[in-house]
Amino acid sequence: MKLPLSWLKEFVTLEADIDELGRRLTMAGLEVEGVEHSAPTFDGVFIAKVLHVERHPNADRLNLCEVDAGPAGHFKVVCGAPNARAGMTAALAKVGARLAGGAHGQGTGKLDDAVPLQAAVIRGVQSEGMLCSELELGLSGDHQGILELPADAPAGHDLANYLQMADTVLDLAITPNRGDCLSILGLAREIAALFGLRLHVPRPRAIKASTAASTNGGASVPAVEIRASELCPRYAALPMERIRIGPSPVLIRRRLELCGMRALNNVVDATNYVMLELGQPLHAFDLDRIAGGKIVVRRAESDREFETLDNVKRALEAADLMIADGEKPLALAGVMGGLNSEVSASTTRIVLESAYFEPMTIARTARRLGLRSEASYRFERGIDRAGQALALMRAAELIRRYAGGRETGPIVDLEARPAPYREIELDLRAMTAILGVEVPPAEVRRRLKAIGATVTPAGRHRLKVLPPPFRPDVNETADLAEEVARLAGLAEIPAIVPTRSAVVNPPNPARALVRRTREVMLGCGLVEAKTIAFIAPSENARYGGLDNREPVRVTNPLSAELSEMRRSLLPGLIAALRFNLNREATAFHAFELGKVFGIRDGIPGESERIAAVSYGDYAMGMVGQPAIKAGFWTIKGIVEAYFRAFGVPQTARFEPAGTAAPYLHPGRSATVKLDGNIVGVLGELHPAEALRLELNDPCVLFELDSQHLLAYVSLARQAIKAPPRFPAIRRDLALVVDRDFPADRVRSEISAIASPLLESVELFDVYEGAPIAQGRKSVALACRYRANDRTLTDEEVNRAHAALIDQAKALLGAELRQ
Amino acid sequence: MREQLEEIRSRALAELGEGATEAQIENVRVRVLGRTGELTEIMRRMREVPNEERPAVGRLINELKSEVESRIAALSEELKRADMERSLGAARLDVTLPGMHIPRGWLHPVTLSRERMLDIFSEMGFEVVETQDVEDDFHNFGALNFPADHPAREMQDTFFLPGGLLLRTHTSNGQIRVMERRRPPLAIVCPGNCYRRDELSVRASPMFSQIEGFMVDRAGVITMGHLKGVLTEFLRAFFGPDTGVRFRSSFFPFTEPSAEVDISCLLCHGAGCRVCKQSGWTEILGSGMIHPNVLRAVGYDPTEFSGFAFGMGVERTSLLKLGVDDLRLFFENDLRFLSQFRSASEAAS
Repeated sequence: MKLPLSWLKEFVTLEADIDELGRRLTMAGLEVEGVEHSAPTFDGVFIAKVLHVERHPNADRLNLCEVDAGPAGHFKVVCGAPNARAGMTAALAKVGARLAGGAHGQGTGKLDDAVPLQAAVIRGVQSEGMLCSELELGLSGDHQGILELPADAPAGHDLANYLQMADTVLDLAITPNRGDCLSILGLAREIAALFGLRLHVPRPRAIKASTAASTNGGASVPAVEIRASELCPRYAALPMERIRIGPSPVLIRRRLELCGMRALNNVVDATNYVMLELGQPLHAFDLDRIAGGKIVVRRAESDREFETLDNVKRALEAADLMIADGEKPLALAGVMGGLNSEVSASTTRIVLESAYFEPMTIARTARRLGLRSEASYRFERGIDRAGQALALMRAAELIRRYAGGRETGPIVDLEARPAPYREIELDLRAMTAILGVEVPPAEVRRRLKAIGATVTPAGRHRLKVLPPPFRPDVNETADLAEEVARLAGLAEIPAIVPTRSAVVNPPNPARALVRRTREVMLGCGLVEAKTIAFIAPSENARYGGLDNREPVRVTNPLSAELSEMRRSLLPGLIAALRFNLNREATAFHAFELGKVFGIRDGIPGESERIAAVSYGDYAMGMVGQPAIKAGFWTIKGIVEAYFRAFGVPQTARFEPAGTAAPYLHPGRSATVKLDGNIVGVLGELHPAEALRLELNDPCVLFELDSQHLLAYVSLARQAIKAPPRFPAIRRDLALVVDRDFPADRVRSEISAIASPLLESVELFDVYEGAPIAQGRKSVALACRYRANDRTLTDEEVNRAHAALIDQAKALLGAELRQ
Repeated sequence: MREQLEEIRSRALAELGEGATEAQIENVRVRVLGRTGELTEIMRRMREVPNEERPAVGRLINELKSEVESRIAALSEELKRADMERSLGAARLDVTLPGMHIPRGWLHPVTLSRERMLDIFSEMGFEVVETQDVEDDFHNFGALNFPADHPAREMQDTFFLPGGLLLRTHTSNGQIRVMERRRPPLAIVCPGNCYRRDELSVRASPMFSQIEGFMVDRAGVITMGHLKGVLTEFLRAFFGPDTGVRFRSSFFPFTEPSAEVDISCLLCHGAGCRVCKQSGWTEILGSGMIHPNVLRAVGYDPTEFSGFAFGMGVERTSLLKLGVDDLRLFFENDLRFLSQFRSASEAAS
């Protein structure tokens, strides 16, 4: 909302400077987003009455005008404007005046650069100045004739002062709860409250009102009928006639423009001016285009389409609130008027509408149509529930003055539904409990009155507060507390640190899991990445995630490329890899902890994942020695280290993934199982995918459902044992099995053989090639035997080991390597 | 035999003189002490020695044996030392070459900021609770006092999902989710990702993270004064003890009274500059006393309980703290950007 200080002055007399004003408004919740200063585009120009106009003796197209500039005296001026006439009020640039505007002005736009006007002899006649057009004054592009000022403009006054050309405009961010501040009056009230000033509310000449719902439209007074009182509790209309449509006076136009609106004509401008001034949106209908002189406030119902005055045909919904006559819709209520009843150059009779529409209905319609107007903006936020008649009187005053109109009847003011009575019983102690500071009762009363509330004492610690009708946001104690605190800028509230409680927060396994996960990943050389959860459908198709759920599609995506929610963290990480390879990097090892999404039981759901991508040199060798590149074994090592950090390496299993994850190399990938559940995948990116991404080295990755580790965050109480006192004896064992038989299964099956002295079995070599037969491999294991109470003899161990070998051969169908 | 022994001895000792090579030493060891060596041979011939002389000869043999052995040991030792001395010169390393290790990874700057924030709140007694990103209208809007069609909803442009769900536009759903199942006293912080329909740009991202916090207790126990106290403590802990903090009135549907919190501009320290639009202040978080309608929505009686809530953007706060002006840097994962947080990451762990 723009606030020109020249306009503000009509409502409040403020002494504070602009910085202080800005600061106080900002602290009170009306944030000043900008301050614009505007400077006059002319000086030395005065208001003058044209006394005589006579033909220039030596030129057909020129006139010789005598003008009265009040105390400055009379001037004789040569003027070529077609509209110069005796009796008009015009702008006289005296000798020495500077004009920054175009045509006969300097056209510089900047006053400092303009050369002062000089006396001139035009066709033999001395001209003591110049009557100016708007273009010359820099007010607009209009150069049709000279500027005509209102008849009441005081002759001899400096025009720049009269038009308040030197002005400051504050740009305020108004929060959605403060519809009342979308007007000059509302802002003035706020400023008066902040600075303890008197507010001058405009008092236009009263016009009689009729609250009877006449259903017979007369020739000059329209009938009004509200058929949707739940959407329009109040509707007031005022008919006027003898309108002469023309441009508004320059002061009106200038103010509209300062506030960001365009001037159109003296009727429309008057309605907009009043909206800016009082916050009540008004609409003017051409009364002659209203069928039957009847206004009906109703839902669109069977109307399907409506052409708004911006020449756009709008599709209607049955619930849209319309203003109609007996035959057709005339306006989208509160949003925009219709082309069919628009005020035009030939309009002579109008009806002014001033209504209260329910905010939600206006918001719905405006949002659906993508049609935001100054009116809908205000209705949506809630206007003054009781300001309809005042706005009509104010608009009538302007139209009488500037468009020559007059009322033809009373204001038809229908209140189909009375405003709710909103008295608040305020317990001052409850307010103190919210604010943390006790504001003296007299001060509370003063502040609440200043915002327009009616306050009456209601016993000890209690006040009865009736919020003003323009503050729909004030409804209970908390709201009043805000008002009281706000007007002092929250500064009187002390900052208190709550007394420390000695309560220890419960353990947080989710957070512990995240922390330990991060720690392991960092230790394994992975950098943390963060990628965005929106993804292209093609990527979701390639990387289906661990459970390959149906993807979650965003109903209103930013673009097709970001139209789904990721099912896997991998495509984001791979994109980050590609991003870095395109920018000088040769290696990239990164992990991400994040959420993935999928349809679960028919509705969108989310789960936590940990994923990593590793590419290029992983562990550095000595200078000159080759580095260890990322590969299946390095990524598997990371996953193993991760499980080790949770004490679960024994229950984790790796099984060939085969084609379970189509983006992985079918022979170099594994599914990861924990306690029998598949919790993730790891392996090398499929060569076809690597080719598509132009990756030269193997790219390895994993993705795990980290939630499975939650159960392992707090370690089970572990029995701690003293180290053994007797030595272990090692016997090696090499078994020849099929090449595809998993080595770890050889180890685990042998470990499981019941042999009382066997302590551990470890894999230490796998060998293929001569003399082992084609398609077979040798798996070498170190078996350790130990007793708790003695040093084992060779004979004991040999016996146990021989038995073990026999069982192992039988169990695995393996032969002993000789 | 004695003469023979003496001869073996003198010959061996002569050969085991200074400068004897390893081969010479080995040669003597095999010849004298070996399984088929001279002493073995002599032992075998002990039968020839008269009985009464046998002990004395035996002693001589043992003496000779140990003498030769100790001489060999001494010489070997000397040789090894000499070898080592030589190798010390030869095996000198270029100590300027880099060592070997797997370079440790580091955390993302947004994680670093978020963890620091959560740590500060944890130290103040707040409990960390994470809630869901996929939300329903009630928990993201309705319960937070955003009526349907209310213009306040437009402050946050929402991504909608099938099934009447949406992606949360703020972490304030955490207030509702926690209060629905727990009773005061509560001191909670909820970190998490949020989503708004903004193109990724210097200033905005369709996905970003926030921390929501709230403290609720019996009515009157927690006041707006405590809100100011807690947030001032937090901001000074996070941005530095000299940070200026100011609270100014504002509007959020879910708080009443509401306050925006500003800190003194980190760039100009309040003097006024381009970044703070000459105001000297930077907006850092939104806060307020929890709106009575929010308390009602979770089944609390607003005359019985009250509390405050606040929320802040983690990326935005990180940008301010780091003095970086492009949000996209946080989502590109450019190692040249991320690697600058290596030390910060180490310092934080």
